[in-house]
This record gives sequence, structure tokens and C-alpha cells, in this order.
Amino acid sequence: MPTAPRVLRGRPQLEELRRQIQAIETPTPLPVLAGQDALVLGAGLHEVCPASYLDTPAALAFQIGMLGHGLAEQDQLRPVIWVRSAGHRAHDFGRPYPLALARWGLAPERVLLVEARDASDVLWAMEEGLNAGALVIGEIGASARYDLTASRRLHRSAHTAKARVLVLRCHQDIQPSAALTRWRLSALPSPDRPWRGATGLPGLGAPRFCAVLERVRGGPPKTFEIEWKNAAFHVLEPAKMARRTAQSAPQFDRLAV
Amino acid sequence: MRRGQALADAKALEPGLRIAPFAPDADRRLLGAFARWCGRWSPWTAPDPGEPGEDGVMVDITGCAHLFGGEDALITAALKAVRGQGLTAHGAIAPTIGLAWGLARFPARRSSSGWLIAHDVSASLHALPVEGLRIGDTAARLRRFGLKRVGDIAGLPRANLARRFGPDLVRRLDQARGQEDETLNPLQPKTPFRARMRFADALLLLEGIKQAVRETADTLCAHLESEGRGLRRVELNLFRVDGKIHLLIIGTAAPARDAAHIARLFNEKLDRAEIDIGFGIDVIELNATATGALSGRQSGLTGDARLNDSRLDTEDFARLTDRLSVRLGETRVKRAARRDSHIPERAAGWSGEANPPGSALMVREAGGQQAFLLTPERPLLILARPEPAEAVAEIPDGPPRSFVWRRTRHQVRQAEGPERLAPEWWRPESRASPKTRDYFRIETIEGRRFWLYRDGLYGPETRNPQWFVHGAS
Repeated sequence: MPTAPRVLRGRPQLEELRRQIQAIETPTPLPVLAGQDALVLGAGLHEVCPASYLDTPAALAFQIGMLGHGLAEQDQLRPVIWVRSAGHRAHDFGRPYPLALARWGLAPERVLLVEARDASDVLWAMEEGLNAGALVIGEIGASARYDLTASRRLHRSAHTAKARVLVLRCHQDIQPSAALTRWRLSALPSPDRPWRGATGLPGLGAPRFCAVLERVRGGPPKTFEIEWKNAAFHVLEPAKMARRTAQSAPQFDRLAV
Repeated sequence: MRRGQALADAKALEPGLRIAPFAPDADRRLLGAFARWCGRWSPWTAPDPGEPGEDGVMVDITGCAHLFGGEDALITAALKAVRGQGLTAHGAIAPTIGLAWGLARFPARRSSSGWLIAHDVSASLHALPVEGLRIGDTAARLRRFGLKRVGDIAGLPRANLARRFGPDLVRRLDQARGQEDETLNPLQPKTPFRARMRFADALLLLEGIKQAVRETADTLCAHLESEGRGLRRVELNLFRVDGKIHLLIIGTAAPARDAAHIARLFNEKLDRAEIDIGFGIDVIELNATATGALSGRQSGLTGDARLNDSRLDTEDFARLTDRLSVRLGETRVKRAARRDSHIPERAAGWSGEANPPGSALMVREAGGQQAFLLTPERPLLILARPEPAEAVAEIPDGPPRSFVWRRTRHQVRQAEGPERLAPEWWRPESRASPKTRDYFRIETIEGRRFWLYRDGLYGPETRNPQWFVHGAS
């Protein structure tokens, strides 16, 4: 004798399921752009790729800057797990230098540098860090282990812990992933300092980057020119000339008179 | 057949002789392992490099015998276990090390059970042959004088004995009598915090071992709590039924006393170590080899865990460090370290230690991040070994206009420097290449940043200085 399906028996179960599904499908906040700065990343997985091999240090700098950028005061005190696989060829620019990290908004005593043996250990350490509530920087390089499944796992862990995980990928890597955003980073020439040295070369201004938001869940791609100044990223506005509207344009007809 | 006999003679006597080369190191290793295995009767054990071959183990059973039902029961059980491993064994229990040594090797009369207990020191000692005094060749000289037993020399004047046979004989005699102190140098360092669990039936499953570790950790942590201590380093000894011992060691980043945490770290190790359980594990022992002060912690005034949710407190951070380092290896999880130096590669780096040098300094400075901004500008990434670059500067002390590094030419657009760093003349190793470095921060026309230095000053130090790339961005 067939029994009635369980779902139909009581509304509460249906409601419960709906609630669960909604929790899974919570829309993630987009990286928003408001005013001069506030390029804020939501909780979850974000990827950064250098535009070319030589842009790898710039991509890392962007990553470190973005890690704590726009976070609440208490979240900025979270520990940071920096995971890299030892001896990977993506690391041939060397190790992070503790004394330089503070300039990029990262207090070195909060950082735990993990040099894992292989890609599976890298992924495990990143997930373990996220589950403990830390912010995570991962240098994945070009690894076959970092696929859709692995990236989705990382994203889920980060989303649950309300933490950010930023992954540095190799410039040639084109594997798809479940990341919220993917940024393509290249360095931009910084503005000259007003003074010049002995050989007539100007001093170095605030570092600038061209950050192309290649992929974003639920939004169009976009290009940002940003500058790291006073421990924050600022979006560079295009020059005033280019933003003129019809009203503000000079009245040429009057000049002609 | 006897010791020191020629091989050809021995083979003539016994044609089917099995020959193996003498391996003293392997013997010593085996004896060491055997002494550790004897730790099941007392924590104080040591291999005894006895005179005829290295074949003895000394066990200090002070205060242990009653646990096994008395000295008789202890030595019976011990010899049975040793013989169960296919070894020939004799034993003796005596109040002094010297007497026990002699009785085990040169008993006046072999008992059928293979062991002796010296209840009366002087009677047992006097019946002992002189070889039993640990005096080597002196024993043969004594025998030439007709002094065959210790009782024969016990009554002789000490001064005469010392003059004729050397001071060693008198010392050994005093040690055997207990008139001179002799201590055992135990294999295991003394650890005040130790917990062990013994099983009537050997554990055969990993799950059972994990459960037992958890319960042993409970005992250990309760002990630590009463003393106000926390674990820094713990050894887990798994005694196999057949005499092998598995040793697992974990360290913690901060003193820990949470049994669940300790058990979890060992579970991780046990899962990955792939230990061979063999016929089972019958004793589990946890030794706290290093401890640190750990007072009680308040869990928070409100008791609401969510208030502290977003911020990991230091305890959680230490636990995360432990978990990572147990799985990945202690040297792979690093924290920033600072040293008192101005040479960039020495001034700061990453250290696998739990409390790296300079970490306290950094925490203090981190109170205001301004302190860090006062440190000189440094690149984000630093090369482990500076890499040579081809560069030519326009003026001797100036930055290069372009340079070639890793087969790529970079055009310099902006430059700052030089930052002149002299070598540390007070270090002996830096005297080998005492060159001053002139560092330049440069940016290429593409906006990429590098940290270059010229090794050596023009003129006083070098004619043709070499350029190096030391960091990027």
C-alpha cells in the first residue's frame, strides 16, 4: 500500500528545505566600486593572475593589499595564512620580506608562512586556515590539482568562515574555477616624485597597477587603474578632460563672435 | 670454542659454523633498542657496555617492583619476556649496580631459573668470582696470586691492593659494596610528566589506539593542570607485543593542555605514519619532554563566543599552527623573525620556531603600524641569493639606466638611492668579502619595481663592480 510522499505531509519540512536552499544560494556581494576608493572584495575565493611573468611581484602586492582592504577593524586582526608550495617555479622572485609587509597593510606577526611540499598539501593548508577563520593567501601556480572541485571547496570554506582567500595563479593558467572574481594584474608606471637624483632620474611615486576584472560572478568585466597610497587602494579617475559633458564644454560659438 | 679464537681454528672444530662480520654499531643499536624496550618495567634503563661483549641492560627498579608483585615476580616475568624473544638471558637483582652486574654474569652457582636476588650484600659479594668486579684483565692477575673470589681480597689492606693492582680495583670493590656512589645514566631523560596505559589484550586496530591515546592524554593533562603546566613537546611510545617500539613526537606552538587537541594532533600523525601494529600494542606511554607554564584561562566575561568570533585569539592561532606543523612538518610552518642586523637578508626572515627571535619586538611595534613605516623601504619579495645582473651606471655612484636580468633588458625610468650598507665588520665570516653595497630602488618603464645593488665602492674596494638584483616590487 503506497504511503503519501513525506514532503506533502507537512508544510514545515518544505519551508525548512526552502530555507536551506536559500542559505546555499545566498547571492554573494559583488566587488563594488563607490566613490574614489572602496574596491572591496566579498567573502569567498578570489583569483589574481599576473598579466605576464614579470608582473608576478605586482600581482602579489595587489593580493596582499586587497587581503585586508576595506575590512572591519576586528577582521583586520585575523591571522593570515600564506601558503606556497616549496620550490615551485612560480616562486623564483623569492620569499616575502617581513619588513616590507607592513607597508602593504599586513602586520608580519599575524602571518604564518606555510611552505608545503606539494599541491595537495597547499590546498589542505588553505582549507584548514579558512576553517580556523584566518585570511588566506595561496600561491597555487599552475597546478592541475586546483580545479573546479578544489576551488569550490575553498570558496565554500571561505564563505562559511566569512573570510577571504586570494589565490595567485600562474600567468599562463587558464583552467576554469569557482572563484568569485578573477583579476589580471600588470604594473603601471608610477607618478614621478618632484625631485631628481644625481643622474636626473626622478624618484618613485606611489605604486600603480592596472587591475582588469576579467571574470566576476554576476557582473560585467571592468578595468581599474589603481594606486596604493596611505595604506589603501585608490581608484584613479580618468583625467578631467575626458569626462566633460556637453554642458560643461566651452562655448565655441561665443568665441567665434 | 672461545672468544678471540682464530676463525680457521674454529672452523676446524665445527665445519658447519655460520660466520657473520662483527658489527659493533649494529650491536649497540640493538642493545639501545632493547634497553628502551625494558622501559616497560622501569623508566630508568640503560644499555650496559659490559666487558665481555656489549650484552647487558641495567634497569633501576627502585620503587617499581611492587607494581609487578615483588622482585621475584618482576624478574621472572622480565626474563620470560626476554626469552620469549628468542634470546638467552640471565638476570640478577642487587642493591648495588656492581653487585647486580657480577651476579648476572658470574654467579657462584647457576640457579635453575637463571636469576638471583642478593638479599645479603656481603655474603653474595664474597662468593663472587673476581671477574665479577668489572675489573677486566686485573682479574687474571689476581688469580695468579690465588685470589679467586671477592671474599679473598675483601680482607686485604686497601693500600696494598691499590698499589699492586691499581686504584680501579678498590673503586670497583667499593662500588659493589655500596660504599661508593654509582648512578645509572638512564637512556630516557627524566620526565616529570608521564602517563601510560597497559592493556591485558593487545590493541590491534588504529581506532583503538587513538582512543587509548585520548584517554592517556586525559590523564597527562589532568596531571599537568594540577601543576599549572602546559605541553610543549610530547612523545608517544607505542610498545609492540614483540618488543618493537614506535615513537611519535609532536610539538606545540604554545603550551597546551587540552587533551582533545593533543589527541587530534596524534591522530593526524598516526594516520600518516602508517605504523606497523604487528601483533598488537600492549603499552601506550605519553612523555611530556618539554613543558611551559600555563595558568588557567578565562573564557570571556559574557560567555558569548560569538562576540570574539571574528578575531582568532592566540590560543586558536597556536592550535592552527600545531595542526599545520604536525601534518606538513615543523620546519614548513614559519613565522616572521627579526634579528639585530642591518644586512637585509639577515635582518628579517622566516623561522620555523614557535617564538622566533624578534617576535616580541614586532608585536610591540605593531601597536602602531607607524613604527614599521619608519623602517627603510624594502621590496616585497626578496631573493634568497642575490642574482647577478649586467648593468652599467652613467656615473660611478649612480643607478644604472638599464640592466639585463634573467635574459631580459629593463629600462630604468625612476630611481632612488643609493642606500649604502656597509658589511658587518664585527662578524668573522663577513670579513671574507668586505664589500659595501649601494642599494637602489628602481622602476622600469613598464612600472615594475626592482631592488638592485652594486657590490663594492668604486676605487677603494673594486675597479669593476658587479651589480645584483636582490628583490622585486
